[in-house]
Amino acid sequence: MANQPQTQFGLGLRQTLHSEAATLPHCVDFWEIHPENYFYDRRNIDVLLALRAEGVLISVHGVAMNLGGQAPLDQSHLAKFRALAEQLEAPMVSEHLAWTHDDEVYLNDLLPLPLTHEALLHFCERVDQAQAAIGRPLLIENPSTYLLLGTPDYHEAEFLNEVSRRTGCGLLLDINNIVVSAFNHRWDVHDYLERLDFSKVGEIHIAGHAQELFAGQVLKIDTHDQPVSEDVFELYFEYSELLAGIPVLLERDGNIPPLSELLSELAHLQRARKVVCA
Amino acid sequence: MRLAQQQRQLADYIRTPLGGTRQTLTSDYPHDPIRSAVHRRHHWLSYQSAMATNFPLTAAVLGEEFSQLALKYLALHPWRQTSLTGLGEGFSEWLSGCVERRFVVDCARFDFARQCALRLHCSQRSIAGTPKTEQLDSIYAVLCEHLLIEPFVWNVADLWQSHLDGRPLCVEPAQVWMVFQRVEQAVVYSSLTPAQHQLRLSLAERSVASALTDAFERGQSTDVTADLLHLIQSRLIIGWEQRP
Repeated sequence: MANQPQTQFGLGLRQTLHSEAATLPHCVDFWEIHPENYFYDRRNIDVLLALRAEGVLISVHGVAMNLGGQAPLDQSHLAKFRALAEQLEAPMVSEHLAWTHDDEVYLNDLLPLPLTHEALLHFCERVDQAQAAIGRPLLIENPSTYLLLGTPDYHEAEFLNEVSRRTGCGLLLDINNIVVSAFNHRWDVHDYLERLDFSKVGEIHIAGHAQELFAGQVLKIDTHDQPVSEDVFELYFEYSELLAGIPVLLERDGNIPPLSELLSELAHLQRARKVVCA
Repeated sequence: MRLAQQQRQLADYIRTPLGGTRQTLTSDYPHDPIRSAVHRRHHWLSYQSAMATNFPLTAAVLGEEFSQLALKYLALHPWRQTSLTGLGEGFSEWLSGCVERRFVVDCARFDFARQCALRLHCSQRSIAGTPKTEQLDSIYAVLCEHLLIEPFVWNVADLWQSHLDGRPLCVEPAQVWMVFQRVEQAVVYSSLTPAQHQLRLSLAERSVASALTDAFERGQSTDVTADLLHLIQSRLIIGWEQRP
């Protein structure tokens, strides 16, 4: 434990948290933003710049780059992403193994890619383009999925390893997404994590999810609107020594409670991790 | 099946409106329809929720009917931007062909005006060197262009008068009252009838600032917003004094 690198813990900075974040800038090691929330609505840019002026780190986590889609990458979107990441001197920039657009229509969802060789080539080509446009490597996040498209050529963890190997991108390991997808597809979470190349992981996400009966099938749904689920905590703790030193983000995108409640949850995560690692 | 074709089929399915009568699945649709429905539901409900956020007054006035109308509108007007801030442009015009109550269309216009003014206000915060008075003038112009506040208030006042006269209303009196609370004195009074004028007097104690602060987002009060409210207030007072 004594030799382990320090792990940073952060929170997702969402609309309702801006004023509290401005008054307590150092309550977390880093904040994470969705850049799309600032492209057209610059109300809270001042808060971000003030946080930066205080020396607070802000990571940039995109949700709409459409890396797996068919329409050409939106150069204007990439330029805005780059400008914001540079303005905030973001230590981490990330996106998803997903697609978000149908032609030019924004579907407002992270849709699954088939884990095929064709999809791998397609996705890698676009990650290369995106990284060239933003001038730095991305971290690519494993998605929550409910649906498997086509017959896979790869296990998802190996697909991600291969994306990283071919493009030089890092990986964002979302523990909640693994729990959700593994439940929905009857995958083994340990098998998944043992296949994943941890040396490429640059950030970890922890979040909550819901379990629903959906037309007769029980599915876990990646809602991000509840406290972190016990099974997500447990899986993280199980691997926390191996993942030591990698920044951990507590994500909450809906039903966002007051900052104090999120900080309590984060403190619980930190304390429990220390106990587990000790 | 090729990647593009797989994605096309899933996207077609997701974009099929919820509760729509259109054939949703073709016989060669290869994906699990129950699991695909998770994405379809998320797609529509997230947009529906964004519409309710952008049109809070209209959503409150229409209740459940708003959700159905929002879905119909969204099916006809797919959104292309990755930000949902401006979602609903043209909604009030489209709504005018769907509802007989002019009053509801005015509510949508009011909501969109609020959105436009807020967006402009937000974008201008980052334009260094733009004189504040110019910023305020342009925001005020946007507000006036979209709001058409005079006929709006007239329509609302007519509805309220109907209620006072004991005639049946097409909406709940509480809904009309809520609209009044939102707009209160942000009106041009010159066209009001004596009864409507009396109604205005009962509302006059409230300030323009509180009404328009409500029209903007709560908690977003900044120096610029405060100045904007002051400017609107002063112009309305001028308008009031110059009325016939």
